[in-house]
Amino acid sequence: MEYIKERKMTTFVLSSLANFVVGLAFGLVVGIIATVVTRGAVASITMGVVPFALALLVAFTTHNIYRTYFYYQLSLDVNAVCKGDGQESESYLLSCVLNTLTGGLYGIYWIYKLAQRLRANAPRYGFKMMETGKDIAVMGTFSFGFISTYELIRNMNSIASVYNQGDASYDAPTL
Amino acid sequence: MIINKRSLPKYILLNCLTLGIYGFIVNIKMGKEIDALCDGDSEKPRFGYVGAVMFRGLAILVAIACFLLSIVIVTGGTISSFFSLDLSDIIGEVTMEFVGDVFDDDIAYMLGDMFGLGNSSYLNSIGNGVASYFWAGMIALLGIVALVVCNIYYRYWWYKQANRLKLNAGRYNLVINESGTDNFLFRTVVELLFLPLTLILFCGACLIPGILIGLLVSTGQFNAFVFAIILAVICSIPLLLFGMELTAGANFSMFFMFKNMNRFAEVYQGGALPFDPMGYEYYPSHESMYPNYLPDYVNGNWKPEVQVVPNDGPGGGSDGPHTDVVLSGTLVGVKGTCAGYAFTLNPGEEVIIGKDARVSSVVIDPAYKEVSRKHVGVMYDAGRDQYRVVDYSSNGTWANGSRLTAGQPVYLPHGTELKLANGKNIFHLN
Repeated sequence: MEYIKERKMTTFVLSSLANFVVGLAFGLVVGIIATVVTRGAVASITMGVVPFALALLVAFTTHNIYRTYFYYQLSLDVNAVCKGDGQESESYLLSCVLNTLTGGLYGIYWIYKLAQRLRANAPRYGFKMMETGKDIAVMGTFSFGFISTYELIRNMNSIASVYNQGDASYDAPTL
Repeated sequence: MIINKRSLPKYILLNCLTLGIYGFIVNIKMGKEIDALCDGDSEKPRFGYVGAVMFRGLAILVAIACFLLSIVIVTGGTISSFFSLDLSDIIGEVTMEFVGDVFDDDIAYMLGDMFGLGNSSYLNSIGNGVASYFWAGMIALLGIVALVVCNIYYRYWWYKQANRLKLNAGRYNLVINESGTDNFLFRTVVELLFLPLTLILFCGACLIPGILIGLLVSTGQFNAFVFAIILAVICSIPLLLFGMELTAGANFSMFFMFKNMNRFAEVYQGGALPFDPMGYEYYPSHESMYPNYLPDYVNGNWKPEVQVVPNDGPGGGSDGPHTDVVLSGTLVGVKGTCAGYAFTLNPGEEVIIGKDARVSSVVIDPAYKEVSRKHVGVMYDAGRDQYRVVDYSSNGTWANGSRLTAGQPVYLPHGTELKLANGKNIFHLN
């Protein structure tokens, strides 16, 4: 039985913001390089707009790197605590590809399934998860993932504290 | 603690007239009332209403400051002129000197123009301010991020409180339909629908003072600028609050909060059933399957079963028998072994349905192999006037078509249909 470490929301928020800031900085560097390479041709036409737009573009395309890693780790832990319920998650890579192809819609469904699964298995650890999959999906959609992640971390930590003691009260439910 | 009844029109009117102060006070009180109602549920948010508002206020102030600053930069001039210090000039010159050493002076001047630093030749030829779009954009972005991140907690706080009301309703024999997610959606989606109007009001609060400040900066009246920015921030806050109050979706969610709190106010007598961390779940699938269904005790049609109990106890014989109202439930067999039979469920007494007569009160024919020896337990809870059902089986029990989680007690209302295993034995909770 693997050990599930507890997560902190502050770590998630700070890492997400750091991810975004690094993306901005990287975009800025790209803007500067573009200016230097073109010897000012870009800068003289549009001045500060180009590096700003580039910084934003890079930040928005890379801001999910940390989250992708975070949810990968979370899905592994959910698989561990829900083991035996017959609902093993599909390939995470495939989920990421589907999420990109559907413009994030698959991600909403994925998080819904994850939350539903966790909720169904929570009673095994003598714990009731208040939030449904619908709650988590809706909150995730409208709060840039912050509230849904907070609720998932909170519930997962509660389950992990029991799981790490090897104390599951019931067998896995059949979903 | 007294739970107050409140009226939404009065709330909106007084809130607008007092520029949000009335709403602030009412919401603080309501937060405390919810804490009293849901005492012991361990779902209390970490911060109270004041904390949530402080987060939100911080977001709005930072956003206003950022937007004003970006407007100032675009309309008024460079970073250098905004701070009215030579610091950015110095930084710019040092940076440009370094870049000039590494590359050449032309590139250094170009970079200086891009980021509005230093006194480059391009600034003089093209004009102040144009080079500062970059900074204006960055600062405006910071404002948007602040607005989003700090506003999230405020919404989460309301989501949490609405969820608590729904979860704790069973302790007061109430059924609350609106969850925290509904509250959040009302608040957020309606606000998004009204976003254009809110933005117009927001721009009215920020754009005009921002342009004025920009003009002041461009004419070099720095002291006047400081005065103007303070004035603009002070003036824009009430205008902003008023605009948000008129347009935001908060009032839509408040309608449901008030409606539900008023229902609690009617039944709250200073106490409640103890909180059960595994219970108090009004079964969601029943609501989703029968959206217009209301239990009899909610719509007033329900009549408690009356039993005449002979009063033959000590000292009670002289008055003859008296009538006690005894609440009880009835389990009716609809299909299978017990079809046509009715079983009275006394409050607090769990009746086990299963094949094994040693552990079950309602015994199913052993020919039904899918039914477990101890399949499901049904107990009538008079306090809530609901049935507490626990599935003990391996092949499952379905309530109105949705499978129950094994081992987890759920509370089901009158009228629920219980299907054992493959559906050859069906009971009805009357």
